[in-house]
Amino acid sequence: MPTEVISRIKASGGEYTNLSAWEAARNANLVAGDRVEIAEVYGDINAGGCTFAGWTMDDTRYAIVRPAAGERHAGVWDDAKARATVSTGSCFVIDGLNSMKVVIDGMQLGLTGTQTYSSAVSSTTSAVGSLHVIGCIQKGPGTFDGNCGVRVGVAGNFYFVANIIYDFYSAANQFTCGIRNTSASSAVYAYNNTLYNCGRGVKDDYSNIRAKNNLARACVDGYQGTFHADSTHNASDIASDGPATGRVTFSTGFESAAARDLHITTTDAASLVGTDLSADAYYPFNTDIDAQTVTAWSIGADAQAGASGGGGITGSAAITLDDATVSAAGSTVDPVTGTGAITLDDATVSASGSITEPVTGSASVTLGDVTASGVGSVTDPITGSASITLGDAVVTATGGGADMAGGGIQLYVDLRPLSYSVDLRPVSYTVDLRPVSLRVDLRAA
Amino acid sequence: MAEFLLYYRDPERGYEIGDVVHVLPDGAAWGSMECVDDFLVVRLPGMPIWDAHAYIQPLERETNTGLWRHAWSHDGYTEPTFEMVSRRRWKLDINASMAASGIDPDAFGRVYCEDWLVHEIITPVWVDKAAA
Repeated sequence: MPTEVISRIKASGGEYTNLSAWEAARNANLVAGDRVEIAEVYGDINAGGCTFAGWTMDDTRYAIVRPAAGERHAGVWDDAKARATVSTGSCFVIDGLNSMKVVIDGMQLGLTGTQTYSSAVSSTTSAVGSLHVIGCIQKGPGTFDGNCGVRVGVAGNFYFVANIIYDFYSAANQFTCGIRNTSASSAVYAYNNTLYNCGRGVKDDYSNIRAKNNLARACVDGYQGTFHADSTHNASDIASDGPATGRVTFSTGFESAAARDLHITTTDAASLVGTDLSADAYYPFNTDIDAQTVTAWSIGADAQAGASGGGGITGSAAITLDDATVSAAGSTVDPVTGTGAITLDDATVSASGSITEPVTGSASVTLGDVTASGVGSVTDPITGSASITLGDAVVTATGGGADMAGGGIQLYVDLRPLSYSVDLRPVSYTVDLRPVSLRVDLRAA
Repeated sequence: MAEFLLYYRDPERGYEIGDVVHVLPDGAAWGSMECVDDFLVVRLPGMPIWDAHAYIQPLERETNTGLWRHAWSHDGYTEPTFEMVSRRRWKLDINASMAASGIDPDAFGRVYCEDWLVHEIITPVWVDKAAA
């Protein structure tokens, strides 16, 4: 099992302030070192022309760029979440030597200047092993020639899955695209992407893009070129646009296109029925732009209709919910999420309002006899990567706080059988540990 | 003013000593792993941060030019295409810059390592790889 090496990319207080420095310092033979290099991004970082080159990787030892816990977007561009932007040039350039595997997962990538012929992610010089851009929002600079969300110009395997890509626009310039392939020897898998206000939504010069379940709207041309014969179930607001198999014409919808909230509505979902890719031969997956599990396959990046719908319960293993009620309503995202060992005995986890990710962890979060509830703009009540135990506890959060436990503030607490309340307004908070009362002020933390 | 994060170890991975890896405004809180081993931070007085960003661009070569660009463009339209020649077009000649700025290299290294004092390069000597 390769060792995971996590570096924090933060404007201050992390190991690196930018991805270029991380890439330069961590660049190595990961196969020989038997490790996975992970860049966890906090807030806004300048991508600063980050170029991946010279690494040695394989399918299990590779590099990941992803948001830190609680830093992932909720399907709509959010300046408060992890994002990599550049005002000149491209965000990421992948320059491969055939041994690269790079995963960019759940990030917000933006071109913010007046650049031309640049991309959020680009591969243009030498062959790439594989590049995965998954669940990202890619925001273009508006009307400037030649920019792309992702641009493939070399051989390799490219997986672009469940991304929202918008504002890479030019009316006349044919090279301004959401997804673009210019290589005769690439294999591009474009699955469940939403492309909005792009010059060309998806453009393929060499029939190498397998386009499935993509949704193009408000583009000059949703699908330009000839696509791989496997392509199916693509939607456009332009009649007879794109590969013919399973083609859908779709001209209205989204929660708010003007605000670039490109989540689909319940009405949209009825006409955007996609093909099931959970057992796809090349890239089986089952999560959407909101990292929600796909149960009904739709077209586009958002699989679950409704205003930023709740994530329900997600995880890859060992989430136990004895006698529990888990409810979410409104703009809640991801109540109870984890990749292992979250136990909720006799618990009620409820949320209403704009809460994000109540109860999140990657391992060993135990909530015995717990009621965890949050109302208002609370973000991340109870998050952590290991060993948060709350026996017989009542956890409530109200107001505008963030990161009660987790992220930059790690709490490892076993409080049974005590009850406590946490007020997160706005930075300092009080923890009542009856019969002991403790006030913790983290303003300097 | 701007501070420059310079690559400062054996040339490999496509970087050369003195390549500008990143720039931040004067007084930035560089990461804990950016202060040691792989990098060197210097301050260039008088250079605005928006000008400094020009130094983190790669050196690229346009590949789709001349007859090729006009005759063989796949779908009949011309498109400028580029390939990366070097990760960075510009590098700071550190030794020449220190000499030109009147900095003693030994004193520079000692206070940098012991006191984390970011030196000011008054007279930077840049190398434009495009001219090489």
